[in-house]
Formats: sequence, C-alpha cells, structure tokens
Amino acid sequence: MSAPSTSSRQGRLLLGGIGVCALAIVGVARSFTTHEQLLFVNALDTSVMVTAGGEQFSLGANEHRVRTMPIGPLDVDVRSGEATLAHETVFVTDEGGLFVYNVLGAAPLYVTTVRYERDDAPVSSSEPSTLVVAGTPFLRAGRIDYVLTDPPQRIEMRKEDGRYTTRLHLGQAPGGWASSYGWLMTNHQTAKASRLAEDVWRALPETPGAETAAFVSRMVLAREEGLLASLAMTRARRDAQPDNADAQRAWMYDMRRAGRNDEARAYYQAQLERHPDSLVMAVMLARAEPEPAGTERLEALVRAHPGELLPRRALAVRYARLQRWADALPLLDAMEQGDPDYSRYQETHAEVLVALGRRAEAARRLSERLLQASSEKEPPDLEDVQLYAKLVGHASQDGKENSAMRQLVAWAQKDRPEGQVARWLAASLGQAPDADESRTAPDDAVATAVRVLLSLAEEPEFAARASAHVDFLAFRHVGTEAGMLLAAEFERLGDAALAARTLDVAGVDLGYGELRDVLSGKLSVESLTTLDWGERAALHLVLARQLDARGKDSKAAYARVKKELLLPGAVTIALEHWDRPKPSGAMAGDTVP
Amino acid sequence: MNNEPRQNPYEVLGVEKDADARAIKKAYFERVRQNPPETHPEEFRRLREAYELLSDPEARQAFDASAAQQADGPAAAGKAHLQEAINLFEAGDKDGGRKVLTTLLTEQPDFHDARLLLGRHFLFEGEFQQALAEFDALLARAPDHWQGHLQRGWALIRLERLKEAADAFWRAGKHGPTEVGPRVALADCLEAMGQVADSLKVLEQAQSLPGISRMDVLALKVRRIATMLEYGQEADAAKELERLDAELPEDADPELRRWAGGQLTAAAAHLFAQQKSQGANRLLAFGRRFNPESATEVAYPTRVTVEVDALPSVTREWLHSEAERIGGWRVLTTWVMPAIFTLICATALCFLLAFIYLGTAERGVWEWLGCAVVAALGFGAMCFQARYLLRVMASPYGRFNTIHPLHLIQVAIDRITVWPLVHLQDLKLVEHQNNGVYQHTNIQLRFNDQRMVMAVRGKEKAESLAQELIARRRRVLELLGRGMLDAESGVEHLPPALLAGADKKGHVRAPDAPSPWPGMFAAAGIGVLLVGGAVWPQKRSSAEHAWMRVAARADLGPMLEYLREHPDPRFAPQLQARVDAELGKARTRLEARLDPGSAAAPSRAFFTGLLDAVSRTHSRRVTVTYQAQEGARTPQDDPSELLVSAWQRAVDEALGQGVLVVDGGRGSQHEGPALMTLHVQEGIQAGSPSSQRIWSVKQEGLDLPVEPLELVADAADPRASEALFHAWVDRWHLPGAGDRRPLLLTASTLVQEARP
Repeated sequence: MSAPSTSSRQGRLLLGGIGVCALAIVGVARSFTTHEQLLFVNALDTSVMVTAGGEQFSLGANEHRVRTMPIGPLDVDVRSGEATLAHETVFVTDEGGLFVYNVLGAAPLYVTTVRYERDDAPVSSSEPSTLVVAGTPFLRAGRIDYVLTDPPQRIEMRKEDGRYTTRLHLGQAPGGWASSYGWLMTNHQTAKASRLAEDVWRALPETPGAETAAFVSRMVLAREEGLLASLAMTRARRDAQPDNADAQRAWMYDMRRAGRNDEARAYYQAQLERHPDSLVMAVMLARAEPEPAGTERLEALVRAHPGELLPRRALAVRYARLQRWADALPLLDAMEQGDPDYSRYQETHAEVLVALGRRAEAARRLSERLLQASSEKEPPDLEDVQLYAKLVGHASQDGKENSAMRQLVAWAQKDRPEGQVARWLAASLGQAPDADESRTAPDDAVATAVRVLLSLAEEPEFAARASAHVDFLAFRHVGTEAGMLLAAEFERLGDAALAARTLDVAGVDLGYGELRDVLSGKLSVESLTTLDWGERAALHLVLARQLDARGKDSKAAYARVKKELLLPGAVTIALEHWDRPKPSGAMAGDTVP
Repeated sequence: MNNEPRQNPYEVLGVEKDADARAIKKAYFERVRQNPPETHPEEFRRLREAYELLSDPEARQAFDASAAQQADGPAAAGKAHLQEAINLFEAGDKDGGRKVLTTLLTEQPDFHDARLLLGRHFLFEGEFQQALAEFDALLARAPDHWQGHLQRGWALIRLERLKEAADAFWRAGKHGPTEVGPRVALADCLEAMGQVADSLKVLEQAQSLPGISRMDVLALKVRRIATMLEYGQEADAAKELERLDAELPEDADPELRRWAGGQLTAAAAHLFAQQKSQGANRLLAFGRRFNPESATEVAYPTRVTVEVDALPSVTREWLHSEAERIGGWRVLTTWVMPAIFTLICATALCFLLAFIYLGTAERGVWEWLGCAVVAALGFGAMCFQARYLLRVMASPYGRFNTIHPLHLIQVAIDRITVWPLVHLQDLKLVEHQNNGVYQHTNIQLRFNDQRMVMAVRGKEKAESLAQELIARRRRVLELLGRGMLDAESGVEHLPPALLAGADKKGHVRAPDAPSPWPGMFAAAGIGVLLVGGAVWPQKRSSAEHAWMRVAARADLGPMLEYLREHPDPRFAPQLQARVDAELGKARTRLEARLDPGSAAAPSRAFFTGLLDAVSRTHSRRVTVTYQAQEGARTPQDDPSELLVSAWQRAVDEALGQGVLVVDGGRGSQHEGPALMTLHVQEGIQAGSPSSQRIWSVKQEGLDLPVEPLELVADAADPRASEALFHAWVDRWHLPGAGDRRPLLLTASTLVQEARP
C-alpha cells in the first residue's frame, strides 16, 4: 500500500463539496419552513371551486382537502357555479401549525383535547375540553395531531410521557352551517353566529332557514349591545320590510322599551296618511292607539276587509285582552279553520274557551290538532305541549286518561335528555318533578328554565338567585308570565337592576318605566292592552303583595288575581307557595332591609 | 550463555590496553557503525560484551589482573584452575565448574579466591544458603577477609536478613579500611532498611577514606545526590549538585568530567527505575554540562506532541517506513469522520445565517448582539474545523502507534505524540467484552503523572505489545545506566533535541506553520460583519411578518397597536385604511342608533370626535377614574368598577362591541395610552336635613363638546350613585339618556353576585 495523495487541492475540493451540501440542506429545510399546511373545508350542501395561491381545485359538498401554501398573503376565491361565495385575502403567518380555511365559516369544527392514560393509571374524571372553532372562515388551529379523523382508542406511550398524555383532535360535527350556528348561539358568540348566518344567506339565499337565522342572530346581537342597537336593527328591518307585521311589531316593541310610544303612534299615523290602503299600517296604528279608538279601528278594518287575516288576528287578540270572550271566539274559530299562522294564537283561543267555561273542549281540540300533526311534521313546540298541560291542569302521563299527554310528551321529548320535557312541564305547573335531573350541558336552555321554575316555587329570593344569569334563550321556556312576575316582584323588593334585566330577557311587551309606573300607581294595569291575562295577573299579584307589605287590605286585589287566572302558571305557583309579605312600611323602589 | 572462549576485549574493540574510557567508547561507536546490529548481530554482540567489560572499571581491573597472572605468576596453576572454572561456568557447565572448584578447595582449603568464586557462583545461581555457607566457611578460616564479609552481606540481603547483612558490610569495611565497595554496600543496605540519613552519612564518610581515588569520591557524591533525590531531599540535592559543579569546573580534567557525567546518567537511570522521573531528569539535565556531546543523555519530558511538519527528514522517512510496515496510511475512515463533522458544522452555520437573515421575530439590540457573538463563535469554529480537515487531507498518515527505541509514538494524522519509555511506570491490560464476547484489549499506560490508553484488537497482540514495551523500557534504562544509549540502533530516528524544543505545554510546532488564531479571528470578524449586514433586511422582513400577523386578525386592537408601535411606511397606509373601514362601520352604526328621535342623538358629535381621535392617535382606550374625598366612600361602596362597566356598555351601545375599550386606569399595555380620561371626583357636602353627594366630572385628553359637570344627589338615597350617573348621562346625552332603566346597574341586592 502506497502513501495517499497529500495534494492540497483534494482537501479544498472536499471542503467546497461540504459547503455546497450544507447550503443544499439548509435550502431544502428552508423551503419547508416557508410553507404551511392549509386545510380547506366545505360544509355546504353544494360543491365549490376554490382558487388559492395559484391553485384551483374543487371541493365537493362536505369535503375537505389539505394544501401546502406559502407564508404570506393569500387570495382565496370560492365559487359555486357562477356565483362567488367568498373572495378575500387571508394571511398565512409564520406562527406555524395547521391553518384552516372554512368556507363561509360554515363547517361545525371543534378542537378537543384527547387524554390517553396508562392502563395502570387511576381513573380520571376530567372531561375532555372542547373548543368550538366554527363560524370563522380562516384561522390558525396550531399543532393538531388528528385532523378530521377519529383519534385512536389506544396509543403507544413512552416512559417519559408519565401517567397520561394528551393529543389535539380537530373534528367536524355533522349538520353543516346550522350546527355551527346553533353552537355559536348557545356559546354566546352571537357576533360570529350573526356573521355566519349573514354570509350563508348572502352567498346562498335559497338556503332554508338562513334568512331567519341571520335575523335572529342580528336581533340577539343588537339586544346584547343595548336598546339603541336593538332599536336601530328593528328600525332597519321595519324599513326594509314595511309589509311585514312581525318586523313592525318588533320595532314597536323596542320603541315601547325606549319609552317612545307616542313617536311610534305618530309614525304609523303618518304612514297611514301616506298609504291609506295599507292594512299593516292601519293594524299597527290600532295597536298603538288607546282604547276604544284602537278596537274601533280594528272592527272597521275587519268589516272592510273580511277575508284579510291580519286585522282578524289583531281584533281577536284585542277582544281577548278586553275580556270580550264571546266576540273573540268566532274570530278564533275561523282562524283555526283557515289561518296558516293559527298556532301563534292557539293559546289565546284556549284562554277564550276556558273563560267561557269550555276548558275540556279546549284541551280536546288542542290535543287532537297536535296529535293529528304528529305524523306530518317535526316535534311540536314545547309551548304547545305546555299549553295542553295547563288546560288539563297537570303533567301526569299515567293512566289511560292521560294517553294524549303521554303521546305529546314522548313526541316532544325526541332527542332531548331523558325526562327533560316531563320535568319542565311539572315545574311550569308548580308540581314536583317525578324524575331527577339527568346530566345536561350547563347551558341547556330547558334545564335552566326548569331550575328557574323550581326556584320560583320556593321564594322570590330563591328565584332571584336562579334567574340572575339566565339569558333570553332560557327565559323563552320560563315564560313571559313568570318573567313579568319576577321582574315586578324584584322591583317591588327594591332590586331595580335585576328587575330591569329580568324584564329585558323575558321579552315582555312592557318598558321598565311602565313597570315602575304600575307599581307606583301612576299607570293602571288595564291600560296595558298589549299584555295577556297571565302577565296582567302577575302584575296584579305583585300589586296585591305590595298592599300586604304596606299593611293595607289586599283581599280585593288577590280576588282580582284569581279571577284573571285562566290557566295555571307562574302566578298560580306564586299564589300557592309564596309567603305573603309582612307589613314593613316599605315603598316600591326601596331596598330590602 | 555463549560457550565460545572469551576473546580479548582490547582486541575486539581494537584499542590499546591503556586506552581511557573515552577512547574505548569512541572505538565502540566506530565499530558499531561499521557493524550495525541489523546486519551483523553476532559481531555487535561481541562488541557490546567487550565494551561492557572495559567500561566497568572493576571488571576491567580483574580482567587485566587475570591476564597478567596467566602470563607471568608462579601460582599460575591455581589461577589456571580458577579460569577453567570460570570458563566452564560461562559455558553453562555448572557442575563441571563446581567440581573443579571443589577439587581445588579439597587440595588447597585456604585457596580463598576459589571459595569466593564458588560462593559467588551459588549467589549468581540463586542458591543463597549454599552461597552463605561457602562465605561462612571462608570467614571461619579467614575472619579478616573483607571480600568474604562483603559477599556474605550480599547473600544475607538476598535472604532478606538485612540487619545481619548491614553488620557483614560493616565488618567488610572494617577489614578493608580503604575499600569503597563495602561502604557503598552498607549504604545500600541501610537505605533498604529505611535508614536514609545513616546511608547518606556512610556515603559521606566513605569519601574521606584514606587513599581513595578522586573518581571514587565523585562516584560516592553522585550516589549520595541520587539518594537524596530518590527520597525527596531536593534542596540538599541541589546544594550538592552546586558543590559538584564547583568541584568540576569547565577547565577541569575533561575525562574526569565525562566520567562524572556517566555517573550522573547511571544514577538517573537508577532513579527512572525507581519511578523518580523528576529527580532523574534533574540529574540528566545537570549532567549535560559534563557530557554535552551525548544525544540521549538528556532530560526527557513526559510527553511531547510534535507536528509532522516539524519533524526532520530522517524522522519522516522513519515514520513513512513505519506507516508502510504497520499500515498506518490515511484511509477512508480517517477523513470521513472529520468531513462529516465539518458538514455538520457548515450546516449548523448555514442554519444560523438563515435564522439571522430570514428569522421573522423582531429583535432588539441585545438579541442582535447575541446573534453577533454566536455568529463570531460559529465562524471561528468553522474556520478551525475547515483547517483541521485540510490538514487531514494534506497528511498521508492515519492513526497508528509504533515503538521507537526510546519512545512509544502515537501518530494522529499530522502530529505525533511521543511518550519516552523511561517514564513508563505502570502498565495494565484490560479486556473489553460485549455479552461475553471479546472485543478488544485496552493497554492502560502510566507515564510519570500522565495516563494513556491504547486499544488493541487481539489478546496475543496486546500481550506481545505490552511485553515489548516493558522489555524496551528495561533495555533503555540499562543502556542509559551504562552510558551506552547513544549506540542503540534507531535512536537517531527521533532526535531527542527535537523533544527538548517543546514549549511549556509539550508542543513542538513546525517552524514555518502559520498560527491558526489570525484566521479564526478573521472568520469571526466576517461572521460579525454578516450579522451587521443582516440587520436591515431582517428588520424589513420581520416588519412584514409582524404586519401579516396583525392583518390575519380582524380585531381592531392589534391593528391600532401596530400603527402605534411599528408604523412601517410600507404597510401603515393599508392598515390605516382597514382601521378607517372598521371605524366607518362604527360610524354607520352610530348614525343608525343615535337617530334624531333618540334622546342620545346630541352625543353623536361626542362619539364622532372619539372615532376621529382613534383614527388619528391609534388608541382606543378610554379611562374612567374615580376618586372619593377622604371618608366619603368605603371600599365596599366604591362605584369605580360599575362606572367602567357602564361606560363600556354606553360606548358599545353607540358604536358596537370591540370599537372602544374602557378601563379604570390599569388597562392592558397592548392598548397603549388612554385616548380620553374621564375624571370623577366624589365629595360630601354636609347640610340639613341631609348631606349631599357631589360628583365633579371632567374630561381630559380630547377637545370634545362636553362640559365639566357638578352633579348632586341626596347622600341618604341608596340609589344615589345611580341617580348621579343618570344625571351625568342625561347632561351629556349619552345612550340611556331619558331612559328610566338603571344604567349603573349596581349589584343586585337580592343576589350579591348578580350583575345584569
């Protein structure tokens, strides 16, 4: 073997080669760090064509695809046929991890932390945390271990992992944009929910429920931001849909809350002068006018337009509010036969029948109509089942005679937690529920309503604690009668803050100022023609309790309450369970000693 | 043993019978050069035996006496028998030699030389008891025979009867009052018994024996110095060396000086054997002044690292031949590992540069300084590694070990490590096994105070190498002790003078080799310059990424923070446009919400002014501060938080959520300085029948159409705070004006924790 070459050229060549290799390695590694993974998800019911970063690809309905995109601004264009669903510039940043482009934010995406424990580790009771990431079109999800795939049941753990280890899972729930919307509303991310619904409605106007969802979320958002925001929203809707009675009613409701009833009446007066043939304006003016002008205007309208539903509905309700039961009944019977929106008036119809001593008939007619529809449509509204329970006076499902109740409850129960509907019915009638509360989500509206109704059967102070944080979604199931009762009682007890809030979330057609005027005697309950009999009875009950507290004779007041009570409800519960106040000389608006 | 008849050493070396030691040594080296051991091993052996005989004064004297007796003496017959016995012993015929001597002693019982020879023979053969018996028999006949006592002492030492041996040596000295040998033997014995002081005293006394030669005196002095060094009496040894130097000035007899030098070398060899390397080196260094011509009688460093380029040509040729013989040339594995390491360094450096130039995080001065330091270190290290790789590729050698006559040599690419064998003090073989399977043997060596390990594959190979190292060391010390190391073959392959040129750390560098430091400093400087050159482009790049991070979030807060803190002119206009678009939406909401019929309509100008200020100052923070006159409020009754919440609700109601942020003066640093500050000062005015609560309200920071307020409420009213705030809202026509709803939303009295 001879001595190897010692030429310096050889070493320099080797050194140069090493330098080139090093540069190549760094260059390749660098090319990886200048790009990030971008997950495109389409949860719409239609396929879309996505153009992003010079790439164009189609995403089928409920399909997803991962693409590598360079860090930096990225123009994304999403089309469905000729229509542009979205066109925006998103920014893929250098923060790393997975980025998600969720078309219109519709996909109900969530991130969960999956916990894996050793077989010999003690059983952990901790729930996996879930973060809803729906409603946002573009977001950085960060490091995700399982992307839209089910995480494995078991994994191999290393010694250094300790007793347990966690992995992140990005999942997609079924249901498309509607699920995302529901999640966001439930989680009080109203702004996101509103944006999602607006985007879906704008991009795909034919999507069922999108318009309603956009409106509701906008409403809720506006109410969260305050009365002025809510009023601006309802005013905009009023102007956009002048023939929509609901839009007009919503604006009127906000104007009443703002204490601007006169302004609303003047507006309708002006509108009617401008459009004398407008039924909607005439009916709305009748709502705003004091008695008897309002009723007379409605009777004239019904006479002039016998086939029109709007004046008939308004007049039927007005007669019922004026206790003109016999006049109201034919109108309601006619509505039952031909009005597609009759379900909104069936409670008034039932009240009228009860007032006329035909309670059994009311119950029978209601149950027949509900059960007849059971094979055709979605589960009934809980409020319909509740109305039936009020008519029969109990929520019991036992026995042959309660088969209708059993059927209705089973039908309404459907996907809800077991026994929830029965518990809610019992609570709304002031009866102790048969079954214990099953495990429900902390923000479940019906379960929250049950808690409020059960506390209402104790004392007002109990109810205050239970209802202090309840939002309007839950209060829908508590009912306006209970809302009115609690708000008025809280005000009587001097808790103005809670009273105002309760009145707000209960959705009662009464301003806080009017409530104070009623309690201070400046305003009579009878003048509040927009209130139904249950709400009026609630106000009368609080007035009676105010008399008790002042040491005055309250027998007549209580008698009036009982007279006005057509159906059992919150007022019945309060009458039965609440202790009557002891005389203390306290005045409305004073704090509790 | 050799069975040839002994040749006349004078004839073998070709010198006269009266030749001095120098002439003998000169003749020996001349003959050795003519007959190198590699080509004439037998002749070399004869030359060495002759030289060893003549360089030993006692042996030379005995040879001369024997030769004279053989030629002239009347007692030639007895002597002839003695010579016959000696020859038989040298020929390996022990029985024959003993028989001759026994017969001679039977015939002449008082022939003491014969008995002495027989005893020495037994001593030589390890039959110490028989030797002692012969010497005892001799002394029984001649109690004053000093040589008999001397030899008896040696036999007793071998029998480890040191005390008796010391007595025998003392008697030998007593009966041989002018003899040096018994004194030296006594000193050795006392030293072995641990009586060093007595030993030194004996050696000192021996120097004043009557008729003692000067050479013997010098030998005794050197011996005494060696003993002192062996037992750590450095200071005394130094003094003695000074005296010796003074005794033998430069103008003294050159032969005597050379002889003294030889004695010092022998003593050094003894000290090396006793693992006293430091003392030995001291003697060798001192001895250089007496024997400067010697190439091998020099101080030996424990370890020296020599660059290959520093080696003379003879050494390089020898290394080449060794590399050829052992297979120590550079192979693939020699340069691949350095190349891979260089690649790793280069890749790391490239990553560092990529990070410095292309990193997207914002950096401050300290971060840049850190980058500069790291880059300087990285470039310096890279330069070092590249130089090393070039050296590897420029050297023909790989890694191997070889043995020089005087040293163990470790060759590593372009430098050799020299371990002088004189310092070898310990050697262990450790076999390494893996799952019971032999892998390799580690030869653990200790040279003076340093350790080294050689891994050798193969048990036999390792044992053979270890034996060779031990034998080499023994031979080196033996030759050194005799002053014959210069003549050892192969010594010249690695000149000891080269080792003497090592620096304090034991390195010998090539004379014209450039220092690595300037290159490394230059590389570090380039690194720093590159970092300096990266500042501007990286700042632009990081600003671009910061802008993207802000733009990726639709929230107004980060956009305002960017415009406030990092207003990069490339992106600020775009971001300002986005901010203005967001504020435009808020203006639209404001127009819709504060409609002309609203009681809050007059506050449009107020909110418009706020939005203008947000667009201008890039802050959206409104601060509400509440201060109460001392004693006016208690901490439990402090409405400051309620005021903040109420103001947040008011601005949200007018402009929408997420436009303005209201705090109580301790806002997030991300929101920047306050856009507007609302000061509420509460005071109490005593009066009859009740006191009054007074709120002094004023705005600071912006020129807005709102006037300072003095608000008054009954202090006894539990809703006084609400009333005062209502008054404030009404006077400034804020959202909530004219509304009877509670605005301040004091904590629920029914549910303390409830906040509507």
